[in-house]
Amino acid sequence: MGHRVWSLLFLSVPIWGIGSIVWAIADLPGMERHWLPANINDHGQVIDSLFNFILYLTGGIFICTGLVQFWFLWKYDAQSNGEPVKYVHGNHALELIWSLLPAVTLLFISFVQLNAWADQKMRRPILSTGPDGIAGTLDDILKPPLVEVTGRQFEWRYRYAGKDGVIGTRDDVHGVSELVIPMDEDVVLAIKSEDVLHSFFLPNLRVKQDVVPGMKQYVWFRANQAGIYDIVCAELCGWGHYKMRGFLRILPSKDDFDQWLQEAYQAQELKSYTLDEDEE
Amino acid sequence: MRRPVTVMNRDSKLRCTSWSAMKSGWLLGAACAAVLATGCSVEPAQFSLNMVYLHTIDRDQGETDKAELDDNERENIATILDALYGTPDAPRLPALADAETLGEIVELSKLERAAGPTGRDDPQGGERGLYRKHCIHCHGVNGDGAGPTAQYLNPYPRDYRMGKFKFKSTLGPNNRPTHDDLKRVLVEGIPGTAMPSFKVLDDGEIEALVHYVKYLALRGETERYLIREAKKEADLLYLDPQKPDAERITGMQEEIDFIVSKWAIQSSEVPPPPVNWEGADSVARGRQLFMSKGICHQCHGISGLGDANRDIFDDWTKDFMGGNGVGIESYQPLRTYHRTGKPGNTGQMDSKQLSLLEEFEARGALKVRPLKPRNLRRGVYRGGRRPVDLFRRVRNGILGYMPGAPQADSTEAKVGLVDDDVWHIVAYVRSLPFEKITEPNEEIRFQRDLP
Repeated sequence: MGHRVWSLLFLSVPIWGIGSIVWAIADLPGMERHWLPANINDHGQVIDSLFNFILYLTGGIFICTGLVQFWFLWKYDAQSNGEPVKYVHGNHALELIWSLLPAVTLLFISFVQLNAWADQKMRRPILSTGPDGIAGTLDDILKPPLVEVTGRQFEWRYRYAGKDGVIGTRDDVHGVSELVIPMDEDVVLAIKSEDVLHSFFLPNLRVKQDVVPGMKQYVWFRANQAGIYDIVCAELCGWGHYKMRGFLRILPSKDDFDQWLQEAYQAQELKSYTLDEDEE
Repeated sequence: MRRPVTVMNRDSKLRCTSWSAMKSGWLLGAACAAVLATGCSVEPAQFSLNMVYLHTIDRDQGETDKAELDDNERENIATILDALYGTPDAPRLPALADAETLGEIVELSKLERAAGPTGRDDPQGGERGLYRKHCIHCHGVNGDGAGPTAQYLNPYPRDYRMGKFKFKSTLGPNNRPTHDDLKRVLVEGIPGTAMPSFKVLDDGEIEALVHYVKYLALRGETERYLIREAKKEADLLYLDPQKPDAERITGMQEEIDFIVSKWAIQSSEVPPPPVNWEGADSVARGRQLFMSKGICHQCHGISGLGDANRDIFDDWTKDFMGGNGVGIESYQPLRTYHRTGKPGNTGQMDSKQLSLLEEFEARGALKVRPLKPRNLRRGVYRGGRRPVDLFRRVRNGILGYMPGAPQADSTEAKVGLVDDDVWHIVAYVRSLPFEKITEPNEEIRFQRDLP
């Protein structure tokens, strides 16, 4: 067993790294459902494109550095090289290259993502353009949140704006763990925390918002597929963090949602109880 | 030519360290292989005796100098409990009890699914060991509400062993919650407390857990009975499994049947609210009753902030601290103790009382805390926000925490409330989160502008 075993060991790192990612992307046995779940948000495609772009870029660099490292270890192995080590005192051209290249790349990424960031964080859906008739200006009438999400140790609680469309009034509908929203509709959520830092994460919608106590934050998305999806907490928030899960139920239309909301309100307003009812 | 020498030295040093690293690597590998081959054995989970209750009974009988039951006597209680209810890994239902009534309350197959260690998933029956996965860190193996995380929570997790549960739809202190009451708590959680919602579990899992909670409650109550009996009987023969006594076994059977029967119960009816309920008049009437016959303001305060009487303790605390003849007349000193960790600075709490607290804490009791009346303006309702829930809270009370409304035959009665009165109070309580706490006085506000 020569000392070249170490160079092979280093070579195995990029091989295993790339191999496991390819395995996961291909959804092969043992790593099923390890890669990104299907995107069901109209605004989520741009997040995926950015993610993939950065993944391929860093992946390429990872492979190159792995191979270079292997090559050096292999070529300058101590047993097969009798020559003493030669020291160099830097190479101006090389240093310029490896400083400027990443700087330019990072600058490039920061420009490429500007629009995506603005879409996610600044361009909240609007109800109308306001008096000036131009969208994206300060007098826009912003779409009010449909649901207020409150994170607390260790569950997500929801408060739906009732018929009046305003949260914090008597016709609000309260829920826990399961969030119900309509499909093909711009949905705005107001998110806050009751206790500590949480992070509201909807993997299928590519929405993730850190929740800070004392701050109310807004996220928005447009789901394009009905079904039941995961809600998780993506910030270690205490010993029960792992159980801070929930379901996102996306209903096929706004009408379905309105009907569900009406039924939930009726159930919440249950005013009498007799034993006969119980037996039915 | 200094450098090559240094490099050579460094190289040989490196070789040494890499060799020893490899050697220790092999050792580590061998250790891992040994663990994998033999498996790491863990002692099977055991129920432990209710030491706090044992000590309470000692105190009740004034036997301050006599030690608790000796090892032999404790062993007897544990053996009998084991025969009746099994172990956390292999639960059992008491064969002594009336099978028909018991069968309607707890089902062994569901119970078994929630019991035992985690990670023994049955391909057909789904996940097992649910109680240990989801509940144990707060509610404990015994269902004593004193799991490892319990001490950090306020309110403390429920101790099932008295059979008492706060949020139930049944009337009276001796009626247990219905199956659906417990299920509702598991599914919806209790907002305002550390009890989360378990809505993400499927119905079979929730059912299994509800059955297990009922099982722990039955077991806990039986244990309390056995402890009382063991203290009562001078010879303790009764509790010696080697020498069964027919008459005493009948007594035990009757007691277990009684404990079980408290669970065979239905929800109390809730009459529909009166006409114009929640109208301005209804809310005004509710407000008036809140401050008068309803005596709600005595704890919740006149503004509903929960800021009035705070020197009250729940039944789980009173169970060991109250009425045991040691002389805690007022709980005020306890409150000081709770706040500061020291005896009250007015000298209300003497060293005897303090040492009493320490005695119970040493036996597993959590630090005594006074309860907080709810701030009704937050709009957070622990027992559910539906009008039926609120009606039941006001009329039936919260077992162990809040008394129910005193009943009256007519609205004219000087004391007590009729159902419509309760509905008006509910209307007022429901209006509180939306009511301004103060009405700014216009005259005063503009006074400084006057000449």
